[in-house]
Amino acid sequence: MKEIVVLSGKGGTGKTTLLGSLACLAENKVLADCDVDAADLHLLLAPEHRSENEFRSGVKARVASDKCTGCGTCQELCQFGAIDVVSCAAVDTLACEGCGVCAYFCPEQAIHLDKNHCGTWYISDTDYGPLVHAQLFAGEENSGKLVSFVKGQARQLAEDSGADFILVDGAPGIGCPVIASLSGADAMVAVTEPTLSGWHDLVRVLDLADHFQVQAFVCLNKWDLNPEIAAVVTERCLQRGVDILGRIPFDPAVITAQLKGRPVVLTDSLAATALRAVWPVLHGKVINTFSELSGPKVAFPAPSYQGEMRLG
Amino acid sequence: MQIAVASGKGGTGKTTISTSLALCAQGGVQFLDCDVEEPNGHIFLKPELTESSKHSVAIPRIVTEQCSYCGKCRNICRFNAITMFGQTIMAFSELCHSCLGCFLVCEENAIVHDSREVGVLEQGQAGEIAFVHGRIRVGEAMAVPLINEVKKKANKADLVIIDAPPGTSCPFVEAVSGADFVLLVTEATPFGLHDLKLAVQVLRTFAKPCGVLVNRSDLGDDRLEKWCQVENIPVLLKIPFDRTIAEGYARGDTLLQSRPDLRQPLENLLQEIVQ
Amino acid sequence: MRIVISSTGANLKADVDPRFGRAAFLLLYDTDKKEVVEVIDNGEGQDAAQGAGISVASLLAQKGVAVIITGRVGPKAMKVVRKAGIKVVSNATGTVEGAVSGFSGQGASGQDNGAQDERKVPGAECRRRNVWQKGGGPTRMGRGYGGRGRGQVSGR
Repeated sequence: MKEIVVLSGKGGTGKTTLLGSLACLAENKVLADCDVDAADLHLLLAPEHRSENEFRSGVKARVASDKCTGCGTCQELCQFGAIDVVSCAAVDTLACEGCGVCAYFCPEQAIHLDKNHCGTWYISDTDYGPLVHAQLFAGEENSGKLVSFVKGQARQLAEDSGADFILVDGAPGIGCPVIASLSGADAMVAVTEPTLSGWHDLVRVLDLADHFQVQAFVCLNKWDLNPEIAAVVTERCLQRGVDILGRIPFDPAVITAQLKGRPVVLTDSLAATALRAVWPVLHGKVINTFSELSGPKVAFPAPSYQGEMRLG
Repeated sequence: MQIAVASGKGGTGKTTISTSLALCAQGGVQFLDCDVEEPNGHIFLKPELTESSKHSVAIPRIVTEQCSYCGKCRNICRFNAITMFGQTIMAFSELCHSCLGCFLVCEENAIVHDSREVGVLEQGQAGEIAFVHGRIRVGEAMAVPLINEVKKKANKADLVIIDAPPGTSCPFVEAVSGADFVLLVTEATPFGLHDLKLAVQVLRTFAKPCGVLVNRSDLGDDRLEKWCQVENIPVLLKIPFDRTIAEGYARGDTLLQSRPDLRQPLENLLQEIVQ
Repeated sequence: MRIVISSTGANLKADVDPRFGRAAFLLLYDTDKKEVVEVIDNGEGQDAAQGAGISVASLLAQKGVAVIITGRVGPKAMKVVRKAGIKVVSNATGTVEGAVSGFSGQGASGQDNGAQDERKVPGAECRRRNVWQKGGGPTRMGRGYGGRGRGQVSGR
């Protein structure tokens, strides 16, 4: 089973468009939308919820106003500016980091830590395979943990169903949720566009993949908006040893398909033709890389041992 | 006055709009790039960066000779950044949220301040515009402390334009929380609308005034505008797709360089927001 | 000797949980008594926002565990495990019972030699190095591509 994560650094370069299309092309896979702040994949894949579950993470401080004497200890100790004491302490839950320092030091024991219900996650069925997705509540933190959780669920599903691939749609940026989506992945595909910003952000996301030792590939979207920069990006990527999987032209058909709520690869368009070519290349590279890696298998001698064991 | 330019969805044109608004402003203006994961404002404003400082957060270092292995620091840490077994104690700096709880509970003075670099803060001048941005260290997960640091540079007297990170979680909240007005840049596509709804939901939780700018307004449909109407959110400006803008953006040209005729509508927009 | 197996259930018939810090249960097994001596419900670890592996590793160190059998131990928990001198058998699958008897069988044929020493597997490092050179990928060697599915036995 191989886990492939689609990232970009810069937002709006076409992660979800690419992933929606890969979802149609790859066989025997599980899909995961790890852009839990602003999940969009479900808009293309028309999922039917199989299960809907609460996601809880961390804690938030809550003040019992009848016990609070307004001494201000909590406000003084809070490093996140989340407590304001007028006559009684008030917690700004958006700023509260859930560190619990206020509760520990409150002389009146007036502060309690409540488990924070911060999102919902779903397992759904789509025409293209099962999808694990989630929605973090507005303004919540901890999206890294929700991302890890969504990935964990997707892995479980993939293991149970014997899927060959897990395709993961990531978030923009290079912070907490992106790091969580990259962790444990076999390959990362960065979608970029031929703009100075796109390149600037791509470098940071490629550095991140290096940092976490995940093999990186690049897909150039809207390449014809600036063929010169596209050429430079291609050259620089190859210099870094990063393969380019494909080039997709700017094509309004991408938006027309999105308005209809379906992956663009199913349409008859220039972008669809280019997208169809991406998967065989990616598939070949991911499979080949790993066949080179797989060495002799050393199993435990005891016949009752179910698993296989390899060393090195 | 502080205006934050934000969006739920990435790549809708936050940086294009925020840099152009800064260029349109009359008098003193300051540009704060709070998208510290992927700051791009400098590509367009091309500031001369004159000041650079590393920003670090406080993390614990345990002086084992002083430690009595009482376990209080481990117990208070809700982030599992300190662990202990027998006479072994370990601190994991990358998990630390800098709440300082461990420093406060230690009775042996066995915990000393160490620091973890979260990124750099750079400042300079781009013509009339005072420019500040933060750049997070690759591999660092916590963006909020650095965003907060960039915001601290805000000049109270002047007009301040904030380029916010995409999304709707903590970095977005941190970037827009001090703003007087949030301009949401979006597209008339289903992705754009879906993510706009999420962003508006966040802004409503802290009653932040906002308005919408529809970029590439002709690529999409009217669902977005209808929704804005129902929700009573003003659509302040619509900019149709133009290949000249896209091509200029690719090279690092600002919107005003690609389309000088948009200066007037943007100036009007700024006027309207300020009033 | 006390070994621990990350498990999806509270008894030997359950499957090995591939997760370490966020495993559902941890079964403490005594290889001399040939029985499970303690079942640790790891609900807290599953719930932790971060660092679940670290706290589980510390707990096991306190309990004097010599070997951990699991799917994969993350890099931070691995630091704790190393410091505590606990050996790790990664990529275990199948039932806990199977993993235990597999381990015991191997242990009986002479522990601490051959199979537990990754340096003795011919060509393992060379294969990786070839790939990096070809792909021009990262030069660090530690965890390969960071993926699961490649066997690993590591100890102190």
